[in-house]
Amino acid sequence: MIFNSLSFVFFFIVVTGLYYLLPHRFRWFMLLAASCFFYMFFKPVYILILAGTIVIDYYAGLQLEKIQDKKRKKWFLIISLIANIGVLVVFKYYNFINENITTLLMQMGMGNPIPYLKILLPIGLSFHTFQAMSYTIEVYRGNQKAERHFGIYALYVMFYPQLVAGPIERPQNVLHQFYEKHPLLYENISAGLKLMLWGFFKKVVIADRLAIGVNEVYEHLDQYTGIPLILATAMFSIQIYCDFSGYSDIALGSARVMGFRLMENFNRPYAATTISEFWSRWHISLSTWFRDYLYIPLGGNRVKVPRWYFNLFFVFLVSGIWHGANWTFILWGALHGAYLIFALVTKPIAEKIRKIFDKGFTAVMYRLLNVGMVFGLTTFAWLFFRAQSFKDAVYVIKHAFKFQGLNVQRDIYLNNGQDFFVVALFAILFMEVVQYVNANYNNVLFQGKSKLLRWAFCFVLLLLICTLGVFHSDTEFIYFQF
Amino acid sequence: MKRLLINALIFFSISFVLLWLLDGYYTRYYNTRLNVCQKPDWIFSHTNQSYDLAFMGNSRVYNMLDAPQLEKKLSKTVINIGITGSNLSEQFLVLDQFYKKGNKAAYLVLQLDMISFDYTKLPFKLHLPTYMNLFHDTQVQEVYKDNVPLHKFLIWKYIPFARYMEFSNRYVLYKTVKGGFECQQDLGYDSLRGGRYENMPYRDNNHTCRYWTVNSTDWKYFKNILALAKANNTRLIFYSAPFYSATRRFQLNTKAIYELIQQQADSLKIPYITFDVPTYTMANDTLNFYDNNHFNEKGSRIFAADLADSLKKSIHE
Repeated sequence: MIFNSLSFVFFFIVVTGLYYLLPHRFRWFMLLAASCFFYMFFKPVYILILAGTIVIDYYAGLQLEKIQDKKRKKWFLIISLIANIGVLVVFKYYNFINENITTLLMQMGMGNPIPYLKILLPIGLSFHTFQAMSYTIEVYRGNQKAERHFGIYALYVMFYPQLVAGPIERPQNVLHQFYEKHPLLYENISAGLKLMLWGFFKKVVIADRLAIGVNEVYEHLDQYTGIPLILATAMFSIQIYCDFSGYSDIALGSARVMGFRLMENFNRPYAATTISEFWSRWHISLSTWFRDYLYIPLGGNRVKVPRWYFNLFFVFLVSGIWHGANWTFILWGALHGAYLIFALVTKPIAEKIRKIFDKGFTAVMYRLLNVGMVFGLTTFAWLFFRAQSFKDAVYVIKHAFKFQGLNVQRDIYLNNGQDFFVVALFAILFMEVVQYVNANYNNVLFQGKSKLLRWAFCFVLLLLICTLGVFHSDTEFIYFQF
Repeated sequence: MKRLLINALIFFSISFVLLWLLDGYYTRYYNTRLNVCQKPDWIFSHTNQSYDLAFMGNSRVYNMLDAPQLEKKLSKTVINIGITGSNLSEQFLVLDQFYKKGNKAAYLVLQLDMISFDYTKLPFKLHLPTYMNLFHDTQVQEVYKDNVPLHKFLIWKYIPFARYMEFSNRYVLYKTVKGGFECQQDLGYDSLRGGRYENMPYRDNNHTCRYWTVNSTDWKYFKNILALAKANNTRLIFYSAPFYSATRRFQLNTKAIYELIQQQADSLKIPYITFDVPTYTMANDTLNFYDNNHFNEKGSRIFAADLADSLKKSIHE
């Protein structure tokens, strides 16, 4: 079930209604049942995989707490991690690995006897696997008590708002909330619904509209050179942000309506002035996951400089692999790793330059220049994310600066008419203004003192969604594929 | 709780009013500013006209009927109101609107074949977005009700603007504000100029075996069309255009369907002309076809002459 569907609207109303109507002791069960239904809406049989890992991790958690012997404890952690990563490898990476083996063997003039698996990737597999792993690691580290209530643990993994595309939660933040009584509070309902409305705006007005132009170009790459390739890639940067952060807003909002508070996943990432700042604002739950469970265990920055750089690069390489079983994703991760290392190497020079432009108007211009550069660098990396194959990505790079005479309909409107471009531009500007105002004026449009302003903003959003939203195509969230 | 209920009530009431106003604006706009580049709007742009013959059907009328040649051969005024990919319920809707615009037709020449009575066998459904601006009309609502899941119909009926929202690619705010459509000239759907199959080479497209039956919804609207024509003093003529003859073997149970059409024609004393018979030799030549179901331009011209000859007799009768 996708959030921008009629089925979800009904589902949300029924589940939220039941949640508040039921006595507290029955709520976990209702939420678990609803989450199962939500997940099974995609492909029912995959719930068995999820159930399998839940049972293993639940049992591993109990053992990790009970056993005092460090060696045995470690073994249970390894079993749990292997189970989770094993599922990921089989369903997500098996065919990719096999494909590369085939290519390698073919170059040596040999055939590959290993068969391919005819399987579909269970939706949101990478997300709930990582969430389950964070539980066992935290119990192993002694930061979290093992959850004794099997149903509550299952709900921690399966809680429907964040089940298929995060945020990838930590047990410390979520588990206790399932035990808390959440009374029907106007503040929660209002804040949750507003967040959902904002998420829907980003998804259906911006992301799905930009998708029309981006898909047009990326699905007919050979018909385009120059400006449209650059424009479509820049649009994809905004599309993926609005798509994913829109999803996160709807997830956070639908949880908040029931009184749950999930972690923020985005914080205006394209306002970042450095790549490292970008990563502290983009997909925060994944960045912090990698920081806590991979980067720091590898030694983080408390090691020799070459090792530090290796740690950074390795983490981003793994992040690329996490996103998808394709060389384009790996290259995307490697690029970000390289960006960060380059930024570290050139940090002293960058500091000197910053000090030159540190005052008044030049500081603003310098900041804008940096924002533009970060956007440019991330957009270049997104190109590998969007391209269907490495060959396509190379095509875009080779042809992006081969300019022909300007044909506005083709190059600017991306063969989608003036309305596509004008509406998209307007919606992006609107979003930027809203984000800027809310960030700098204490969230005034959502939670400000002026009731008139808050209500007017909600009605404007509603009208924009109704009149400018794209509802006619099957538009899943991009991150569902991971 | 009380605060929540009051605020929810205010929010939904204001939203309802805003959407209702928007709905009214869109309906008025799209009812008055017709996009004649699209066939249904082109048909509805004709008002208070009288025609001797109106030809109705699916793409086998839309693309295959050379109206100017028929006009010349028959010395009658002709309009082609065929809609590509339409089922009988959509054809009923279009005919109803055609009459409601004050138009008249002495004869309704209805193209019927096995596809007409069982559209579920093909991936063609009612063109849902096309008639949303006419949704206030009870006949249009009935057609939609019979063609979409009930929950969709109820949402479109009771939540203002929901239907425009769902088809925002057709009902575009930007265009209503800017005014008009990119294409407003008359493309001349009466002639073959509106069709797609001009001078196209033959493509052997369809070898799927299908067992044709009669679908209850299509049958209901077949009867509705007959009643509507009668109520508007229009006489009926049925005809069946040919398919490329070599593909007849893939269409099963067609004999029974043609017998049913003949039966209906006989009982209601409606002339029925069929060209989908082995003796109609032009259907044996791929040079006359664009694909197995449609003539190309050349085939259409030959067929128009043959149809005109047959119609002469029926009209004079």
